[in-house]
Amino acid sequence: MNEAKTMVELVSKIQREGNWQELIEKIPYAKFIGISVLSMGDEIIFKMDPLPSNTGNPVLPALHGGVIAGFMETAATLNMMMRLDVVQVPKIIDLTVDYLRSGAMKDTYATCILNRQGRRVANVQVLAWQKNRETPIASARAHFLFDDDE
Amino acid sequence: MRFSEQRYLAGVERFIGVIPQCQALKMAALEANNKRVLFTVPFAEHLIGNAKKQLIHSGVITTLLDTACGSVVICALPRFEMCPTLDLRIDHLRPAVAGLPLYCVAKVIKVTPQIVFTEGEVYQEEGLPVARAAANFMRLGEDKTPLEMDVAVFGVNE
Repeated sequence: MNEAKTMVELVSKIQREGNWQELIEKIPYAKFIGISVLSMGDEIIFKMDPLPSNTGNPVLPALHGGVIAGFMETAATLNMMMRLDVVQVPKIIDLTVDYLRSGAMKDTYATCILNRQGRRVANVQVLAWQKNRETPIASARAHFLFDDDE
Repeated sequence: MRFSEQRYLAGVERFIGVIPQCQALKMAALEANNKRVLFTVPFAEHLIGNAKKQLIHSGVITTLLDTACGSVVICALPRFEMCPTLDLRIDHLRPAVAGLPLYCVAKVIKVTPQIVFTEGEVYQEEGLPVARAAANFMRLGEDKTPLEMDVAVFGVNE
């Protein structure tokens, strides 16, 4: 209970101050693949560093497709926590990723669109790009569940 | 089958052995043939996505599925070809808990001249699936992949 209170306090503090890096510090996997958040006004852009350990194809070289998906999934989850008064971590129900271009070993960005926010389920669309948004490396959509079991 | 199961297993071990992300996850191949592979990822603290509930991040599950499905593709083809993932669809059926390894079975559903269709399942305890996936891969063609890569992965014929 005490921890839940800290989480509520943490998220509302972050929502006030806009320092989302503090939340990312609480997610070991997000640090493992090098995720950070750039929030500019209303716009939230997620960034993933080209860590050598994120390589999936050492010949090209290129990012691992699973890491790109993991990044997009994390972006969708954090985006929801940032946009809504959600203090719990939404549960992922399903994820569909279309790989459009190979991901070079450089900074990758992602933005999310909350297509629908229902009482129990949310639908989020995610775009990942490196050069610009017009040439995305992957596009994804995911459903998330909010349940009250905590 | 092109090779013995041992040779397929050695091949996929070599394949994931050169992928830095798979090494970072300490991913290992347990079984392999031209239709099916079994992979595993041991638990580690940095794989946690939800510290409060002690759950493994779904991104790890996605990477395991993508790698296992991609590896069964190279086993199913007449020779090694570069096959990027076209798309990947995952259903998360139950949370993956901290402390236990992940296992992933990937199968080839159909091989066509351009596309390979696969499906995969992740579990921690047999019979209790954590996630299932359908992944489709694009064949770049034998001419796009040097023959040496087939030898590098699967070894030289006796």
